Amino acid sequence: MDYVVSFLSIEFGLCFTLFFLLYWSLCWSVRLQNLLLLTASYGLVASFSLQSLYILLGYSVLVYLLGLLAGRYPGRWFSRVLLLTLVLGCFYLFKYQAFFVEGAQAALATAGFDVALPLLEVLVPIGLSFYTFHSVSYLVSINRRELAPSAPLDLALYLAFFPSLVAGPVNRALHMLPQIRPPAMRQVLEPQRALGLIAMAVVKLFFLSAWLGSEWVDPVFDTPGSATPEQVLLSVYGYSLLIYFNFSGYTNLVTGIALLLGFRLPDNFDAPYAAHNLKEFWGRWHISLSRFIRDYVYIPLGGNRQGVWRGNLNMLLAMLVSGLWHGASVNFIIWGALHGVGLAISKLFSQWCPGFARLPGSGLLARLMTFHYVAFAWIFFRSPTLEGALEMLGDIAQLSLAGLNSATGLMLLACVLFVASYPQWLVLLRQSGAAFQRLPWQLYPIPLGVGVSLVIFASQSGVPGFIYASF
Amino acid sequence: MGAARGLYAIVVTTALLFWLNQDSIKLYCQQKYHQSCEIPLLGQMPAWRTGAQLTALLEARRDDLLERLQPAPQVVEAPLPEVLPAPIPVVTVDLQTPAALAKPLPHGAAHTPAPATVPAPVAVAQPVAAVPASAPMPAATPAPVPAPALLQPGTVASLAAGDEVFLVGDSLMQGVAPHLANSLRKRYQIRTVNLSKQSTGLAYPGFFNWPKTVAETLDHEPNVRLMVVFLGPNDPWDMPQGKGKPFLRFKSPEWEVAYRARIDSILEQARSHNVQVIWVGPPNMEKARLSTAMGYLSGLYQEQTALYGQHYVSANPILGYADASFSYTVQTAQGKRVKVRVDDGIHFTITGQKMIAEQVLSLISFPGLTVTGH
Repeated sequence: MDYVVSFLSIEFGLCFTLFFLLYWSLCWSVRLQNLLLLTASYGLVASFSLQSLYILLGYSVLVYLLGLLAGRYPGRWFSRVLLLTLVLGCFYLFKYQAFFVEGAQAALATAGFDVALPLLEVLVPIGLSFYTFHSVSYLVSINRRELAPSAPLDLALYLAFFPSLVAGPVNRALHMLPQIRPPAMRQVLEPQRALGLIAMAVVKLFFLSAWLGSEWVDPVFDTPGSATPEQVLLSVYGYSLLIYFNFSGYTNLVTGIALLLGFRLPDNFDAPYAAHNLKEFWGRWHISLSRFIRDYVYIPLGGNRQGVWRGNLNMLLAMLVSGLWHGASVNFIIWGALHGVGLAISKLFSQWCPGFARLPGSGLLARLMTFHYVAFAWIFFRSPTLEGALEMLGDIAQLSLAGLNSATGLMLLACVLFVASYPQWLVLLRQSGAAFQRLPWQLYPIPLGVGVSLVIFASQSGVPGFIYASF
Repeated sequence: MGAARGLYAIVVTTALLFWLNQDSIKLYCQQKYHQSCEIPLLGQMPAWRTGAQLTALLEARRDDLLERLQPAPQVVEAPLPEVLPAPIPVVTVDLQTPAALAKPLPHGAAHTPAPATVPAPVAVAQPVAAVPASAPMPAATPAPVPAPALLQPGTVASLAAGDEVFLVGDSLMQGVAPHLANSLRKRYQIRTVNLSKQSTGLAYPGFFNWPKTVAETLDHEPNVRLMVVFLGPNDPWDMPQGKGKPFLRFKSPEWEVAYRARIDSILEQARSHNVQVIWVGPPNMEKARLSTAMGYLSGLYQEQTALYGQHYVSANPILGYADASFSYTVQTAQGKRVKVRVDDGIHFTITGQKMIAEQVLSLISFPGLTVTGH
């Protein structure tokens, strides 16, 4: 019983086909197209819950008013304070209330005070994490005089645009608003690539991530301690691949959908496990979020302009914010902290040993080390509890050569080899993708339909979930 | 023009996908919308059916291949079942069950559980209350419930070293299962077999057949001594009764007979394998309609479990719900309010899952097994 709308469901596919027909039959009027898009977006939110829709509507009104205010007095302190209050208030109310109240109660209880702090029963509105970020980009741009306040309906569509509403990517006002008001008639953008992206999403979500989840990952993470050290390590490798397939597959899907509607969403993934260090990793993983955190958290904190230590502290703070954004739990905070500390260490290392990159084999070593550090941090990201994560780390510490001499050991080796040869796979994949795009458009759907059917045939039943829809 | 080409590609791809996957789409549609989901006219055309036949052929090939790749079945290697302690000492302590229900077992059910795929209204263990007064009672065979032995007060099942626990259910169970499995393993070194799967239940055997899965699992896992069942929210709908026949209306007498038969066939499997059962009834839900339906289904689980002399426990008191009430939070013994249900009003938070797991554990006694660790 899953009420979150799944963009890969049969119902969505059929509705989208009808929507596509209607949408493009209105291509003579951008205004009508936008109205249709807005209605569809609100319908989608309402199908999740009416309360989510009311909150989105209320939020849009507030952002519109703040936009007018910021347009009147750009760059003034009060409009920044109001923006911060709005965003932090919403996040606190809807996402972090229970976490903080329970934490404060526990802290007070240990200090001898037994108090029941007020706790409102509210549901997390769908898409909140993303549309608040969209609004930040909009209001900051107005404050910087890069943008004039938008018309109400344009702003509403910018905040609610359904392909990127549920789980991103994080849009920027300067990139998105011009697409809502295009100078010329809207066009389907790269239709073959769009459908190819959707097919790719099916492979990644239905086949790869679902298989990894049920075979390698979930049994171990759900009951840590019941597996051998090798199986625990395999589940960590598995999860590192799974979350990539899951999230990048989802991004492929919504990017494809948006292209079919004539919109270009920002890039979100660029072969992250080919990164040679953590900084590069964050330039390739969830790119729209890491750029957002850089521009709206790290740089306003002072960036690296105030010395090395202050720069590293700012980086740590930015990563903690990123961790907390993913969810209100100690594990997400640890995950963010690990990345913050890791970034600092990797920066110091490149300063101390500038010659490392020229050593033979250093590229491969750097990639493998980066992958393993990221995988290590994923343990905290995926584990439901801190004890579970620590127990898994304890298990991995007991790896032995005898244990590695097994079928699981072979699969571990295969994972490492896969990561090691990742750039080569990437080249192969990109070439075959390009060849596929060159098929004549009349023939194109046939291998697409048969291919997707084969993938579904090889996959398990059931619609896979999107990990990022819950953040 | 791009839009026309795009539409062409979408329509052709969709048609191909539907042609090849029509049977699974039909099942999905039945399970979700509770209708027969036949496509008028097109559905019976030979050219249309060819797609389904192609897929079926491929599936058969795949299954053949997988079977050949599989190592020898596990039963061969598994040790013979040990000499068991007195089979299943079970006491039903639920006071709400009429005493009359707990004892006699109409004999039809004891021998011929209705196969769940053909939910024909036959041989169903009827609770006494449901049998019309004028109908002659079938000759009652006493349920083979042995004298209660070795059960600590307050518990309803017991496990010894080497015993295993089998977890059956839907996404509710998926949440609770890891906590149960963890505690059983850490405290008592007891292994669990967790087959819980989201979106499953007893109403759509074409989608997932629990009676069959239970039978196969119990055949292959001779050490299972206790089965914990927790399902329901996927079931309160009209259900299919076979090809071409109309759907059975939810709560209609025919529906109830078919559904009871499926509960029975699970309980019957447990009995023939000497397995104790703890059946956890689904709790109240946020949506009133679903919540009422859960109350109705819980009644069926409770009555059938009692007929088989097994144990039923409702999740409601565990979550602090009285009657038909629902709340996202519950007051703990320390006076703190903690959230036990997630925002969908159906599933549990980790706290809620743990509370249910603990309650189930507290019903099991472990004579001779020492608690280790924490």
